[in-house]
Amino acid sequence: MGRVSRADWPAAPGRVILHIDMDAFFAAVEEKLLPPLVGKPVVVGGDKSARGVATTANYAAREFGIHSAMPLRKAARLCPDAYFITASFGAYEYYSNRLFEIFNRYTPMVEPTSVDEAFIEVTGMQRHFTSPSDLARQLKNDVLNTLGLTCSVGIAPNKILAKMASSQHKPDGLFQVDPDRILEWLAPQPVGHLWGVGAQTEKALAKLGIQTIGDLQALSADALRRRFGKWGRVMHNMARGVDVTPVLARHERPREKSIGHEHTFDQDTDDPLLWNATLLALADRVGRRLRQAGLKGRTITLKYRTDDFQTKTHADSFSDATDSEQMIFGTACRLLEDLSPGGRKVRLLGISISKLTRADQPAQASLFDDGAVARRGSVTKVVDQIRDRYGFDAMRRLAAR
Amino acid sequence: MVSVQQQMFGVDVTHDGEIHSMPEQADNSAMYQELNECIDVLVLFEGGRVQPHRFRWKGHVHRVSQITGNWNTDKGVFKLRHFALMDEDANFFQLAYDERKTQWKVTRVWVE
Repeated sequence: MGRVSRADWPAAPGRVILHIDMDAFFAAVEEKLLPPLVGKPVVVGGDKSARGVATTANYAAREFGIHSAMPLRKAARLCPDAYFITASFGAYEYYSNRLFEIFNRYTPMVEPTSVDEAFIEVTGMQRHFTSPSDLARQLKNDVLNTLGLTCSVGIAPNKILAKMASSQHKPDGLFQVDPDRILEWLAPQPVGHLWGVGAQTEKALAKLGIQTIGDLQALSADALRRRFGKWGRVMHNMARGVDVTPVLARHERPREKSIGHEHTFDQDTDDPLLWNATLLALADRVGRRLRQAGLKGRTITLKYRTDDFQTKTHADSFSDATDSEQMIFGTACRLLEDLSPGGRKVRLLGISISKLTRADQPAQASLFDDGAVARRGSVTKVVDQIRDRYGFDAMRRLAAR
Repeated sequence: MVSVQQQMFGVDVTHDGEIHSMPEQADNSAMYQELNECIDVLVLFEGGRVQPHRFRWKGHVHRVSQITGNWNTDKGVFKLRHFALMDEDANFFQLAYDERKTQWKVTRVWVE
């Protein structure tokens, strides 16, 4: 398994899918821009005394046990000498765009899964490359020579196996799963290697004596479905390396299902004025993004996390879709009042809107409209125009935080 | 070039553009800082691109020896143009040019 020759290209209808995952992408871009960081522990996310979490840690920092989503203060305790860098999302976006330009030179069948990760279907490209691994090596070289960044590539007959292959061969790895030995490759691996099997499922499986994917392979689909419902069927298929989901190019992907923003307070707070000011700012951003995307939504969801790390969500739906921040803000405030964080301080607030429809779809006119909605709409339009020209921060609500 | 440089950087700049060392660095350890300080920059328009050539920060002139990366971020219809660069003393900086304000800032510094 791994090194292969021309015979690696499968006969139809066999598929060849690459999963490409950049290695510690944000940190790698920072190292590229600031070469003295190379080899030193780097944590991207912000100042080490800040309350946020690490967006990425490079491999030198990971040796200290630091990983993405770890609170920055904890990361600082693990490695006080690490370099804590504020994320330069503009730079990451720039490098991401150039990365996808490289992918698209090979084929349009590129499905982005994040800014630094994609599935690429290369089925039928044997006229151009002696083997899938030959193609993958060339692509890796293109990325390295053009951007100065490394990536890991998994090659397999489907997306799930390709992702497993890339994630197990990081950094700068390349691995091809032999289509004829999928079960043997999977069997010794821990169940946690399967896509979507997290700590909770692992625990539940362990109670059934299932530690490896091979153990899972021995169970019938019915047994797994009885214990885990639909998810049991999915696991049964994954354990056998079965996955028929297609690679969807950008234009084939369904549009986003929700739009949301959240904010973590610098300090946990029980100040309702601060909660409301934050909700106003969040509603402002959500409304702006809706209008930019030409969308409206019918379900508004409030999320909050208290200082004991309990996270709750509460939603309300309306018959008429909206893109108005006033409506979003008012609903979020009411939901927060209904929920009441129970005397606890709040760590995080978030608003999202879902059940999205196109904004140009006709709406039912209100019988009791006194023109206020139209007036607010005019103000919003002007604010949007100013922000289009000068950026979002050019206009802020006085009460918003 | 020299006359523009003198105009921009004042009398403390030598005519040959030699770079001045940074007095703040008493020890040998590297210093990384994130900043937001306005600076004066002398730029070159070359090959259809604009690139910082030298700049003054904390009273010293730094001559750019290598651009390690550049990217843009949108601010409405205007752009912030970012440059990551190394000076001749192997100090690393990130500069940002705000098109709307026609203003340069130093945003990150790494000095050995």
